[in-house]
Amino acid sequence: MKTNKYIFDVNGVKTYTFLRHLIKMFLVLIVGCLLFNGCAALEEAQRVREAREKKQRQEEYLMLTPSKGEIKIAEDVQKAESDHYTITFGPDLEGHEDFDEDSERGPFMQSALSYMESLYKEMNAIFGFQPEHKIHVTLHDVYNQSRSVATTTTQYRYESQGDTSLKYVTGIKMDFPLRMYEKHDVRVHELTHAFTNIYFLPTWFNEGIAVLMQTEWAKGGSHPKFDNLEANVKRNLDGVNDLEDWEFHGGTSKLLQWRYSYAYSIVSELRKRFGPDYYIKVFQLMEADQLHNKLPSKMSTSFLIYYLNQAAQTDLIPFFESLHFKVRRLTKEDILQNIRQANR
Amino acid sequence: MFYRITTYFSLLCCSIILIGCSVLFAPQEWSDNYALMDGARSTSPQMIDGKLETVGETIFGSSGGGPRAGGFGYVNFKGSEVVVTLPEKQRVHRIVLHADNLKHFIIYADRGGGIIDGADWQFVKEMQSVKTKTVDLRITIPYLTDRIRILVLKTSEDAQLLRETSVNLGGMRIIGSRGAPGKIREIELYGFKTAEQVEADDVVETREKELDELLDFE
Repeated sequence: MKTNKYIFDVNGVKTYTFLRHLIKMFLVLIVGCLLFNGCAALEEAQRVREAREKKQRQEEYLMLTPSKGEIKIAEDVQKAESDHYTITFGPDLEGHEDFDEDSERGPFMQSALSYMESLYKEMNAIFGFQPEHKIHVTLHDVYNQSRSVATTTTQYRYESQGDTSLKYVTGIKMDFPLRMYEKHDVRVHELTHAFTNIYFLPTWFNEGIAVLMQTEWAKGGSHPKFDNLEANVKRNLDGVNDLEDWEFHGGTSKLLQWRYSYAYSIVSELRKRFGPDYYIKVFQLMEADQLHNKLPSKMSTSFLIYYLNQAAQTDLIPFFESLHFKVRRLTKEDILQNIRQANR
Repeated sequence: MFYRITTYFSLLCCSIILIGCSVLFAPQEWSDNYALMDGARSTSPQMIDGKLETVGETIFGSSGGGPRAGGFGYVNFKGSEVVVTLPEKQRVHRIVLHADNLKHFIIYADRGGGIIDGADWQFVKEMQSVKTKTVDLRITIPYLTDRIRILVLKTSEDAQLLRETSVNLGGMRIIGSRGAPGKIREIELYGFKTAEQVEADDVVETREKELDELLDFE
């Protein structure tokens, strides 16, 4: 029987020990590297998770940063002014038990303007533009015989410039019954109008954007969203989507509720399809063209779709036609021709 | 030799203990108000603007109550709330509230990491039958958090509001929808200053004193 005998001499043992140490060190190095990399990867994963959670948690509430601007209160404590607003008490609030003393009106106006300034700053960051004029807020006990209707009115005038008549915004005013002013989401709704009214948008789109901000940004609102737009459409006697008839806030309350909900549903659906910055792009396109203030009247839905298409980089005419809007595909030349024709 | 070593060693131990004790007994200083940090946000920004003149109101959630027949309490009343977020996580050891009408409220801190929406609200403190306008609270379990929520369950204006809004319908009393919102002027959040911050403050203070003396001398 043959056996293998390994015999180490002194040098052999030293080499063997040295190699053993080298392998040990190498292993320790590998384990160290793995641990370090693992920790770095874990840390990175933790950071990403925290950022995601933070974003998710911030979407739960409407969070605002405090305003640092100065608020001036008039000597008679009937009016106050901040960087972007003035606020006044309507005549029917003079005898109101909560505001019959200077010590009550002063802090109220200061607090109100402080909140509205915070909201303004945030909305400016969202839209990327702001109205040129100060917003004049008037508080009422009852406004237009109602305690549940708040309005934002953008005043404008026409001015001739060469062959074209241009529309200029001259002022913005908001009227709130006190009961409506107390609702933060209503303030958001009205302030959205103050921002977007400068583009003379179709009423349905203007209201849709305002309800979108009120509901999805300010986490308020009472207008439900329709899951199925085609099934919930309402049409006028011409067979056209009833939203196209929406000029004023009158009409039966059920129809009005439907209009708010349906306009919001369309606006929300498009935002869902084309991303959260979709409407920012739309407003940027309008701002770049400056055609909105040359129009003889309010913007038509076809004109709006001209910009919606550009921002979406897709043709939305079939979508609007499926909802029974009476629209046509416009080119810039069509729009310019319409403006020329109106000024002829 | 042994005695000498023992004596030196004992002296060393005594010095360490004394230094340790002096650190332990040194008064801890409150940090700056975290709510005034750049990037702090709130559902009612007037509550963290550093101005006691401005009043913010807590906000009712969409499920925050409805009318109830029969005369007692509210249906599903969950109160109104305010949330303050800080730009980074801090250990909050003290909360000061300057409020006008709070009677009963609960404070929560969000530790984060919740499965459903990322939030993990932990109970911090409950205050009932509050009688003062300024409430100074020391927090026994200071969670590391970047979000504080104050849930207002009762205010001193609830009773009046309910009287105004309740209606009698054929012997059945319909109580108003919900209570009044909490009115808070300022929310202050404090932790402890770190040793470095205390030292930095001391340096600034000494420097300012020296400059003042120099100006006086001139």
